[in-house]
Amino acid sequence: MERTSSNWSNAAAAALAAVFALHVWRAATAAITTDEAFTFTAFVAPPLLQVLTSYDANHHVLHSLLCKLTVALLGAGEFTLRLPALLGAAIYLTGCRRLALASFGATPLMAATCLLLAVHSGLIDYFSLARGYSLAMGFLVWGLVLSNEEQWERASLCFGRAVASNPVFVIPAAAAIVAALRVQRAWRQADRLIVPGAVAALVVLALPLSRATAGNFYLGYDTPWKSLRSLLIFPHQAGASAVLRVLSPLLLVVGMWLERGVYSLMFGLCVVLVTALHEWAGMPWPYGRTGIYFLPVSILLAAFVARRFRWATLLLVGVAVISLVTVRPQVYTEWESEADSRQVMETLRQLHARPRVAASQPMQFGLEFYRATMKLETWPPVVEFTEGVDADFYVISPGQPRKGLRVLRRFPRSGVEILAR
Amino acid sequence: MSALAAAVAAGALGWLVLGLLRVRLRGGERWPAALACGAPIVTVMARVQWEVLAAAAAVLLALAVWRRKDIRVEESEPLPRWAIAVCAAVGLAFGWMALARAEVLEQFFLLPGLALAVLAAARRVARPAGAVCAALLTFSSQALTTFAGLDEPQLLVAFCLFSSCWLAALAWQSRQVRLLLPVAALAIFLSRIWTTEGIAFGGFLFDRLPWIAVPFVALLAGWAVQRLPVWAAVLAAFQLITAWPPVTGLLAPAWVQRLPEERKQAAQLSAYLDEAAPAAAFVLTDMPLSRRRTARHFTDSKELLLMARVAFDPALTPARERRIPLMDTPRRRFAIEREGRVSELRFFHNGVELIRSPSWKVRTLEGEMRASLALDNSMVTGCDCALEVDFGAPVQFDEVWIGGTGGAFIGVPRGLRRAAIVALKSRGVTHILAGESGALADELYRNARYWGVTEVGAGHGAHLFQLE
Repeated sequence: MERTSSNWSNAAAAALAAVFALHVWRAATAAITTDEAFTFTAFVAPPLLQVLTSYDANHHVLHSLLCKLTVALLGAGEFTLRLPALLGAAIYLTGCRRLALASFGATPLMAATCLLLAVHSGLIDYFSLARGYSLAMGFLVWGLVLSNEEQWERASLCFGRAVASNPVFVIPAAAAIVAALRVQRAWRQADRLIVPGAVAALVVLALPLSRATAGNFYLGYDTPWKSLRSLLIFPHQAGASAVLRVLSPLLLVVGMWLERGVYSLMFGLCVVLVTALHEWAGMPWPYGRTGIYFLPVSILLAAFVARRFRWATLLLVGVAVISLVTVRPQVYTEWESEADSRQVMETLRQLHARPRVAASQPMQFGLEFYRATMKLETWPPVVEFTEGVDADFYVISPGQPRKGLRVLRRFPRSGVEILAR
Repeated sequence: MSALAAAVAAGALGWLVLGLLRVRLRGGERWPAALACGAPIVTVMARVQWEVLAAAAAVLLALAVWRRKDIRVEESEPLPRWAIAVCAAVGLAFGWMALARAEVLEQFFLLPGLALAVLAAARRVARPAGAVCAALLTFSSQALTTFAGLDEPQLLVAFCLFSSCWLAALAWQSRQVRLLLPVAALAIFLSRIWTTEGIAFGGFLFDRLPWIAVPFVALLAGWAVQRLPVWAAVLAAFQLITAWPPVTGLLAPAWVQRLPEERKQAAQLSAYLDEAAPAAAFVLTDMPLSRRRTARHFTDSKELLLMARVAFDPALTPARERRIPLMDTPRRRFAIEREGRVSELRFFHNGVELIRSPSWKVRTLEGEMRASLALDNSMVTGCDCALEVDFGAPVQFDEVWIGGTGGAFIGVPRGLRRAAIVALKSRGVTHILAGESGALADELYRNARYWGVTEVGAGHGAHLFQLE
C-alpha cells in the first residue's frame, strides 16, 4: 500500500515535471504578446528609477524587477523575459503537490488534483507568460502550504511576495491570512502572519503605488456574471464551457460544505472583498486573469467533493483532459492574433531593408518588441493602423477592413496578414 | 534663539504644572508630558519679544530644576542602550537636515516632542523594538518634518491631538484623574487652533494618509511589529531611507517638488487678497490660498468652478440634445442612462412642458451624485450620471428632452456666461480669483462684457474679477 501510495505521489511529480517542461518550451517558442511587450517597453527596458516611480495596471512590480534582472544578465528576448514566470511556475507546481499531499495524501485524488491545478485552461497560459500571475500564484500556494504547517513568518513572506508580484493578489492573500487564523485559532500569531508579508510588500510596492490613480485600475467587468463567465471557460469549446458553468457552482457549494475549513473561508472572503471593493471603491469585477486566484481554490474545494464521492475524481480528470486538449502550445488564448508576431517581423525583414509598418491595434506593441530585440532600431517605429496612415506594409489582424490593400502573406495560425498598397 | 527659548520655556512650564498636579509618570514620559502641558501656553506667548521669552525660560527652568522631584517617578524598564543610540543618531541626522530646510524654527521643538510622546505611549503597549520603530516613523515623517519648519499650525495640532489622547489614555490606565486637567486644557486649546488643511507629501509609507493621523498610525505600526524586531528594523529603515531629503527629492512625484513654490505663492496671494478684495467678499478661486493668511472668505469648490467652465469649455458646454419620444401613458418614474453630462431634463405632453412640482424627487443611479442639478432650470449646472425621476404620482408625458453633452448637436445656448455668473452669485460668490496661466482667467479677461465681470486687480500670477 505504501508502495502504491508513493507511486501516486511520484506519478503526480512526473506529471507536474512534464507540465513544467511544456511551460519552458512555450516560453522559448511562443511569440511575444501585447501585454508582455508593454511590460518590457514600460517597466523592464527603462532605467530602474523610472520603473520604480511609475505605475500602471500592467506593472507587476516584483515580476518587472526580476525581468529587468534577467534581461540585464541574459539579454532581451522572449525566453529571458519569461524566466521569472517560469520560476513562478516551478514554485506553483511544487506548492500544489505539497498542498494536495497534505489535503488528500498520496492518492489518485491527489494526483488528479495536482494535474488539474497544473493544466486548467484558465491557468495554464499564465505560467509561461511574462506577467506576474505565475509568481503570485506560486507564492500564494506556498503561503497556504506554510500556514497549514504553522510556519507563520515564512507563510507571511510568501503572501507578501504574492502581492508584490501582482497587487490584485492582496485579495486572496488577505483572505488566506484571515482564514488561516480563524480555522487554526491562531489569532495570537496574527502579527507573525501579517507583518513580515505586509512590510515586504510595502517595501516593493510603495514607490510605484505612490504614482497610482484610480484610473489605473481599469481592467474588469461591470457585472459579476460576465466576470464569472470569463473564469469558467474552455477556449473554443462552447458546449464544454456551458457544462462547466453549470457544474462548477454546484461542486463549489458542496465542496465548501464538505471542507468547512481554510479554503471555504478563503473563497468566501475573496468574494466578499471583491464585492466590497466594487461597491465602495468602484473597482470593476474581475476580468478573467484578475480573478485567477479563484481557480486554484475552487479546484481544491472540488477535490473535497471527490474525496467524498469517488466518481467526482473522474470529473477532475475530465476537466484536466479537456483543458489539455484545448491548449494550443504556441498560442496564448487571449492573444491569438499575436501568435505569429515574430514570423511577421522576420518576413518584413526579408521584404524591405527599412520598412515603414502600420499594424492593427494592439499588435504594434509586440512588433515594436521585436524591432528592439532583433536589433532593427534603424527601422522607423511601428505605428497603429488607422484610416489615412501611410506605410510600406500593413499588418492587419483578422476582421479588420483592408480597402485598397493587397495581401502579400497570410499566417494561418493567427489569421494575421501582411498587406501593401 | 527664540525657538530654543520657546522649547525650554514650554518644557519647564509643563514640568511645573505636572509637579503641581503631583502626577506619577515613568521616566521617559515626563518630558513629552511636560511639553504637552507647556507648549500651548508658550505658543500663545511666542509673539512676545525673544528677550522676554528667554528671560521667562531661564526663570522657569530654574524653578523646574528646583521642583524636579515633584513629578513622582514610576518604576519601569529603561530603554535599551541600542534603542537610545538609534534614536539619538536618527534625531541628529534628520533633525539637522530638517533644520537646514526650515523656513521658521519657532515650532521645531514640537517634532522631537511628538516623537517622544509617541515613544512614551508605545512603551506602554509595545516592546522596545516596536516603540522605537513608532518613534522613528513619527520623527522622520515627511509631512510632519515639513510642517515643523513652517509658520503653520499643523504640527502643533498634531502634537496637541496626540498628546491629549495619550494623556487621556494614561489617566485611564494609571487611574490618575488629575491628568485629565491638562487633557481638558489641551482639548480647549485644540478647538481654537484646529485645522485639517495643509498639503505636504506624506512620504511613501504614509502616502495619502492625512498628516494628522501619522502619529497614531506610527503607534499602531510599532505595536504590530513589536515581536518582530527584524521587520521593525526593515520598516524603520525603509522610512528613514525614503524620507532622507535627497532621496525623497529623487523619488517623489513632481508635484512634491512644486510644493514649496506653491506654498510661497499661496501665502503671497492670500496677502494680496486682503488688500485687493473688500472685507465682505466671497471669492471663488482656482489658485491655492492659505486660510491663515487671509481674512477673506474664499472657496475653491470644484462644483462652482465647473459652473464657470461649462460656459466656455467645449467638452462641457451643453450644446447637444436628446429627445426621447414615448407612449402617452402615465408614469410614476422615469430613468435615463448615463450618456454624457445632463444639464437640464424636461418633460413634455403634447408639446407643452410639464410644470415641475416640489413632489418630484430625483436620484443618481450611477455617476456623480448631483442629479438634482439636472432639474434646477440652469444650463450651467448638471451632472454626469444616470438618474431617475420619481414624480410622486403617475404623470402623463410623451416626450423627454435632455440638454447636455450627449446627443445631436444644436449649438451652444446663448447667454451661458451670464447664466454662470448668475448661478455663482446666487451661491454668494462676489469675486473670482483666477490664475493667469489658466483658461478661466483668459476667458474672463477676453469676454468680460459677456460674463458680466470687471477686473479689479492683478498680482502674483492671478487676476481678481468682481461679479457685476
